[in-house]
Amino acid sequence: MEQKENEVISAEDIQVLDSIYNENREYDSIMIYLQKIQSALGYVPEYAIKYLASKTKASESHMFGVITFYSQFSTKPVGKNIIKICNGTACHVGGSKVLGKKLKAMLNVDDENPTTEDRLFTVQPVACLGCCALAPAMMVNDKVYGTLTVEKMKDIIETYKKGSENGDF
Amino acid sequence: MKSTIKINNIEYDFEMGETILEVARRNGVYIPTLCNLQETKPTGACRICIVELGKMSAPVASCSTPAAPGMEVLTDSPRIIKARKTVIELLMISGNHNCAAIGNAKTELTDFMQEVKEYDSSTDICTAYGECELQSLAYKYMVNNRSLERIPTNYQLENNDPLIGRDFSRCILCGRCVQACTEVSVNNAISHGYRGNIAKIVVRGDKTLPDSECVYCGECLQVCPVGALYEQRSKYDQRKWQVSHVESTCYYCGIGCKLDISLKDNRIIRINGSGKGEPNRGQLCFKGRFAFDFIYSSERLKYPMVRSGGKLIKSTWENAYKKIAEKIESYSNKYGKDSIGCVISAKHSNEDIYSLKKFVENISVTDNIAHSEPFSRFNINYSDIYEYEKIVIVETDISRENPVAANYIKRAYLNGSELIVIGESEIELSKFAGKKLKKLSDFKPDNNSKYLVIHAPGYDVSSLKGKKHIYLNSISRENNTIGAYMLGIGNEKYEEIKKKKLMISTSPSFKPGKSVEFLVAMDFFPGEQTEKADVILPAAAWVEYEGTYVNAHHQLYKTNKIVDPPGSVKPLWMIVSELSAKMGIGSEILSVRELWNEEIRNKFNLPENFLYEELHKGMALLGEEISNKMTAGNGKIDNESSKIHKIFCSFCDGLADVAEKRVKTGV
Repeated sequence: MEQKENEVISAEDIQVLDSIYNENREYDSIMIYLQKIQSALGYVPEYAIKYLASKTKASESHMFGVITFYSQFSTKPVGKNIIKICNGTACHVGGSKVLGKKLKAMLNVDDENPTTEDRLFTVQPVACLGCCALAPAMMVNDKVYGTLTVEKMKDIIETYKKGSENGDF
Repeated sequence: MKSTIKINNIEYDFEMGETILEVARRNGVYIPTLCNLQETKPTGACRICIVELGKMSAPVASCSTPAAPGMEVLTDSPRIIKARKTVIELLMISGNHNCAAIGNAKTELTDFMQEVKEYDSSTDICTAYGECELQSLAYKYMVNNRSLERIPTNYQLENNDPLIGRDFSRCILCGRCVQACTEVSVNNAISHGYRGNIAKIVVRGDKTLPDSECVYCGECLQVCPVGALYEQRSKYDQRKWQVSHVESTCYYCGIGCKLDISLKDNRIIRINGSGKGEPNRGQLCFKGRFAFDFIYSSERLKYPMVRSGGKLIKSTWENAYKKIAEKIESYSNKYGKDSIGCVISAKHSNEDIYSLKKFVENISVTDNIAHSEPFSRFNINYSDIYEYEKIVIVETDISRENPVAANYIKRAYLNGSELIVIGESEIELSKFAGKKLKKLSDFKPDNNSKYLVIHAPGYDVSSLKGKKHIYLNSISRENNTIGAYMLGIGNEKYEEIKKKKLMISTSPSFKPGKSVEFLVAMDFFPGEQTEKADVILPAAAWVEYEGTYVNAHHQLYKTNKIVDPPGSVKPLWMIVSELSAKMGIGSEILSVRELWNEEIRNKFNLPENFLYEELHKGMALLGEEISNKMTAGNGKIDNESSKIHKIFCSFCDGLADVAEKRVKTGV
């Protein structure tokens, strides 16, 4: 899901950015702008960085540095559902490594391209979800699923696939 | 407030706010550093400068720890040495540091060389060998531990830029380049990106330098302590033992930056900024750093040419002089002396300009010689720019005309000065401007702040004159504009003179009109004026002869002869002196020294002991009185000539444009 070389910025895109910029101007913080853009668009596109550079004192390279430093930001579009697979000690012992591999194979993604082609899922490894009693665990959007097995994972994915079709999950 | 600190059991005074490193350096105590860069905020990134504050505390980075009263610092305790060794060792195994200071980790050197070859397709050792700061530290601390594995490099060599190459396998992420880019030249093209073991110095969008906001000032290149950034044109050419260094002064703009020129086999291979003091504090711009290889261009004029039968034909100096002498005589007899005129470029040395002026006085009317540059004066030290609360830029794209001055202004902005940009067009500094105004008349200064106004030379700022809190300054665009004025050559008559029937021109931007019947062009490249010339005399470039100049700050300085001119090319002053001698209007002058000591020194009203031999000692500030006296009458601001300037594009700026374009487009 590579971005095009010269993204054409529509008036709507600019409108989105304008409203984010105006609403958060009081903080005058790059982090806030970037977070809002990330949650509104699902990623921080190049044109948004250009836009912010023209509005604020921060340079494009500096913002790019910030975006790549924090895993909360993405420069590529992310899927509708974000699956966080826990790599913490308890989950690791519980076999999270194998589960992660299976999950990625199931969705046909890898570390380079963690988002499915239909842009339904993005897989992100995380250090710890803080629910070690449920190990091995993963989180889809805001919901935690514990004591995972490959079968269970399959079911969860299917639910979300269906859910997304119905627009309800 | 003064307090004392003990370093290695010796007591030293310090001022509150000084870091341990600063106190140590001031007192000659050595603490090694890598990431530390003068004039920028310490980052404490490399941890080489760690010192011990007592057995109980963890080592601290001396570059970023402020000295405190009663501190007892140990710079070389066994514990510190051991820790430093580990730091160096970790840095060494992090990349292709094949300088043979150590075998790399568990790999034999020869095997390691093969690995390196896979990365940079060269069997050569690191391009920074002998100049690398990490290498010298590895030697100093005898780092030869072989217990660690080489950490693989995640990023490919970036080789697509014709000027700056980026070798990520040798980058130690000290961040000096980022500091140079964001705090010294303030171009903000690079930054730290990613984190952990995939950290990298990035440009926007993690693209390559040509796709970035980089303006190629090359400041990063100059500060890189290792071989991560290298100049493409001299990649494996600049081995320390083959290169000699010569100091000189840049000739592009009025600032007159000090240069450190690297020579190999009598050929310039690299130019760096030199000196810690004014005017440039070691900085340089794109033009000064990279635009030098034109002097080796095959297109240069190498021998005199005389037009015969409509064609320019290779000739001898003898013939060319003869032809010019004949023509001057016939025009003088036919139309009178006033039919002869001379336009010069304000880039020539004082000696060139003075010889020409004397020559013109003899063959023509006294003031039939002019250049196109308006008068300017920069009264303060460049580093004093920081002291002004408000800086006003009037109708000048200073980042283009005098890039190093723009760096100072941008740094003042980082220190909290407000920037006000006045002008129709958007310039680089507009990005930093707190206020943008279209016209000077829109500018309403208040009485409470100190304003520094930097306007285009010759721009009419008379409305701001006479106000105590407004300091008016301008920086000359050409390196010796002020020298020309001091020698009595101004720009008032430029338009009139360029229409004379017989023209002598040394200005590459001169476009001969129809009224010009006979044109003698002295230049080093073929161009518009040489195409139409009847006699071409090839002149030497600035590094090919010695001479004196006066910069925008009205400082006198000398440049050195660094390389020999190609073919039979001669410096301008020599050409003029030979021509004068041939025409019987003065004896031949043998050296620049003679010209200075016997004549020009007196023209500048300098004291008797101000001999040419003394000039090498550096820049001499010509007293305000002297330079005012010299420029009286010519120093008035001329609006007309500022318009002329707008269509005037000097050759050298043109060349830098071409080079810049070449870089940007990769053609």
